[in-house]
Amino acid sequence: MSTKEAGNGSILLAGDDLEFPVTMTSLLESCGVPARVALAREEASAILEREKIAVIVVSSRLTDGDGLGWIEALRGRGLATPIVFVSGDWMEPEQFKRVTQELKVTLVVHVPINATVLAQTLARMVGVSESKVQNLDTPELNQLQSSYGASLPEKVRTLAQALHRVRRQPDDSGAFVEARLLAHRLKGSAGSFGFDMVGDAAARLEEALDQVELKGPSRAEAWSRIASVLTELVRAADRAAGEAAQHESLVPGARVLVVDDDVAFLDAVAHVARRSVLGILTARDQDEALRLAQRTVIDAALLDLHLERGSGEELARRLRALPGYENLPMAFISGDTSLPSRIAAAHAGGSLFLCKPVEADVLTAAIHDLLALGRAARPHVLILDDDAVFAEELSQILQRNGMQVSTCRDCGSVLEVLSEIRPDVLLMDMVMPHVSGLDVCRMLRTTLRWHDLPILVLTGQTGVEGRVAAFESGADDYLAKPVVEAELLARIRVRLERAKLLRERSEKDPLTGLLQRRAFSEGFAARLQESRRTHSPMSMCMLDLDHFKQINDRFGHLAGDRVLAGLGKLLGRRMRGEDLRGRWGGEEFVLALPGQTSETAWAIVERLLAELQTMNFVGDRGELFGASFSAGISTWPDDGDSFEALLHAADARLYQAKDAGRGRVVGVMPPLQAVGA
Amino acid sequence: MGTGSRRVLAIDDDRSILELLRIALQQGGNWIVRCATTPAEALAEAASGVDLIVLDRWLDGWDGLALLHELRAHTPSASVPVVFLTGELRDDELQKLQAAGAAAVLTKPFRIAGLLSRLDELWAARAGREDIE
Repeated sequence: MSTKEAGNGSILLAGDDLEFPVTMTSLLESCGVPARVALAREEASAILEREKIAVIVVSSRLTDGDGLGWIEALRGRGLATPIVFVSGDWMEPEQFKRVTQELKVTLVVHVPINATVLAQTLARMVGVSESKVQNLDTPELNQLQSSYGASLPEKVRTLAQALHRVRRQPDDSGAFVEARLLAHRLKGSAGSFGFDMVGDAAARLEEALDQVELKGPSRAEAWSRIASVLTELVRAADRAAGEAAQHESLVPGARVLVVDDDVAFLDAVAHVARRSVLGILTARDQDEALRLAQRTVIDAALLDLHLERGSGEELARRLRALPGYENLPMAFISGDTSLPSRIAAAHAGGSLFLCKPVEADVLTAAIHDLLALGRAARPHVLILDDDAVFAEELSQILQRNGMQVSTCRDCGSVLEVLSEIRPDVLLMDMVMPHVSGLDVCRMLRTTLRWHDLPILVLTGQTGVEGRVAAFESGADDYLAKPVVEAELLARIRVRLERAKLLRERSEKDPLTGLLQRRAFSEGFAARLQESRRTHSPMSMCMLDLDHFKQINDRFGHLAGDRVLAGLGKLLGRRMRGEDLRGRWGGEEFVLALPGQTSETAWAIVERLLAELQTMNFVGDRGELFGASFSAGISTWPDDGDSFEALLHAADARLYQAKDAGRGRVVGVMPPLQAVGA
Repeated sequence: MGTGSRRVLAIDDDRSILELLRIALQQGGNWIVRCATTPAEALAEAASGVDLIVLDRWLDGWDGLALLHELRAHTPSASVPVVFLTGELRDDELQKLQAAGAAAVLTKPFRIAGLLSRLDELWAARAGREDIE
């Protein structure tokens, strides 16, 4: 029997002590390892013959003889099972050598024993704890473990503060009870979450605290022990947090939903997922997919366009209709690569279109692209600090909490970096070499572009003067060093929330929910730059509601507003996260479609038109009426290289569409009725 | 045996542990998990009946043993197996808990796998017993 195979074997506890096996059995059970107990050699030998035993724990004495003698007999019979020897006396080096080398004892432990540690060691020897825990490797559990790990330094800090109070006020029994409770909890929870080092240190701290309670001469000694264990605990907690962060960067908590009724494909996806440690959730039909999306947070979705029951398009619509999924990045997979399929996918909001069979690396790349699209929607924080270590520390905290972080160490280049990454919040140190953070703050406030960028200043000075100076120079908020993680996050989140509200108010048209002119132009410029960089086409569409003045006159202005809002909603819901939709003014709308040629853009807009034409609107007197639009499409690079040139070309075609009788889309080619029909 | 839904009530005043139990039992053991952090919550959750109880030994000033008596007396859980979680097993603690009717006692820190397999065993034993009845 090999030890590996013994994963399911039991542990045999052989010794004459009655108490020890009772405690050990319970502890081992906690670790998922069954145990057998024998008081005598004879009884133990019988168990060995009968059952699969993975490790034997032998005490110095058994009721019918000494432990070492029995081990010698076992090895003499050729038994190779790993043995742990619990020695009653301190073993001299010579004897230790004999026991470990000749008798092949794997481990020698001396009494008094730390039973918890021994149980965990045994479980590890059997290979239970590690492998079984990994079977439970679900994304939620991983995330929970990571966030618990990340919270450990804070927990230890709270414990340290409590200990400090006990030290200062020895007679405050409340402080003592609190400190002990914190240590006790940490002992219980850290180990359960898999952070054994922290749990062990907390257990030792708890023991030492009990010594303090005894008062008397051993007190001073106990305090020095507490100090050293605490140092160890802090280190272990920091390491655990580091590990958790690393784990998280491997599994960024990203979850991708894959929906396909083709089981072989789902298997292939699962295979890719195992290699790339992504959280992949699979579903075989619409209902299952929707249930999953509602139960957990999904970061991206990969949908089969042609599901047996219901289309992928319809599922995409239903997913996007769920709260929080308005901008869910999606890709479609299909065996049918015809143009109508591709157009259907883009119309339904698919950022990518994959052809079956999908190669593993294409699939991996697609998933990463989708997640990148999702990331782009995450808040972006710029840290301006010359202290690289501190900046890294902050950066890790923010990243762990779902933010994108960039750092800049040089004040001189801050304007360039800002323009490049356009962060949502700036976090900067007040004290930097050569230049004061306050001056940078003032400078940014005088720059129109960064007039309302939320700025948080980090400062070591917490006095009134420092704070006032920070606010006077234009900072929105300040944070005292050393930074408390929870406070940092809370303050940044408040700023982000406020900024988002302000931005929506200033960027979005309240009636249609689409971008206003200026915001659209800015977004368009960025996408145009991206298209130039990647040499991929981009289309623009100008569209105008037909006979809008007559609608207002006949059905009332409220009815007109309902049409505007209805078209706004349609544009907002269809299309992809990276597409831009804006209200250009009055009844004019404008769209940007990165990656779309004039042909595909034409077909997408044509479908939008068809969908609008099926909608009914209600007039002020209850009458029902329909609406349509005319649209013109231009495409980079064929129709020009600037926003203005493209706008001009699209506008000219919009007029062609109006002249040709309205309710139609005009692209660079003569109208393609053949494709649409 | 043991096919239908199985409900477990987890009681612990440490919310991080409770969250760990919730996710582990739900995803690793297919349990329907109800959680309680206080005796009042525990009694309310147990009122509609559960199949198993995981109970912390000491809840913020409350003795888990006393809570167990309350649960047995006032909710339909007289014969429901109870698993105790405890920080340490000093003196005759184990015997005391077993005498009070604990089906199993696990020490914190516990291993998720160990807890799950223990609960599975208890569930199987219970289902078997019901089959005979």
